[in-house]
Amino acid sequence: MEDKQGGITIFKLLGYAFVINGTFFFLVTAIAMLRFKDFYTRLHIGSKCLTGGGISILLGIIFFKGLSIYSLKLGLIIIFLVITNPVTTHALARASYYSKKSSIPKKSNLIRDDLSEKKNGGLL
Amino acid sequence: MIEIIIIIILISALLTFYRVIKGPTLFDRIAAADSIGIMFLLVLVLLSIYFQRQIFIDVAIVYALLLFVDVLIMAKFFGR
Repeated sequence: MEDKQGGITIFKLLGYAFVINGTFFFLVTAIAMLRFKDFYTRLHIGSKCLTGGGISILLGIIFFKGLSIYSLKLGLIIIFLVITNPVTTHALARASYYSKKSSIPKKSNLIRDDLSEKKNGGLL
Repeated sequence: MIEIIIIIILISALLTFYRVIKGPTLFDRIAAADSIGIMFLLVLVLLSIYFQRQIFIDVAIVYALLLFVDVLIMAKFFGR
């Protein structure tokens, strides 16, 4: 991240902006993990905000590094993060819904449940 | 600059660890542990730039793959 030429180009400026943006999203994720009071809202902040922050930080590092084999590996991590994080979130939400021990609590703010109205167990 | 970013990400991982200890249900703990894993993945990528070592990026790729399989197997195992 240190500048060898000494000058500030447009790519370094874009890189700083993306990295600071991603760090802000990570801090928002940590605060929301403490503040939210339902499992599904916590899963929501863990899915969307964390994926966006990670992609933003990796794009910032790619803007710093330029085109090389290093940036290719970072792009591989970005594609992998985009594919796998919604899959794990969906698996966790489905496992938590069909688990009988930890069903939806009484003082939750979930007001609609479309999945329970469907016949033969929803989307099996 | 990069040290400050690493320290902020570590502070947010420490705040998320509170949810792992005091989660009401089991799936809260799994979701919070998944979040901590992704934060440490980004810390590993940033440390690779800080120490100028390219081998940490390969470690980060394998870590992301293991994290995916780990959470998927835990959701499959505890869901029944």
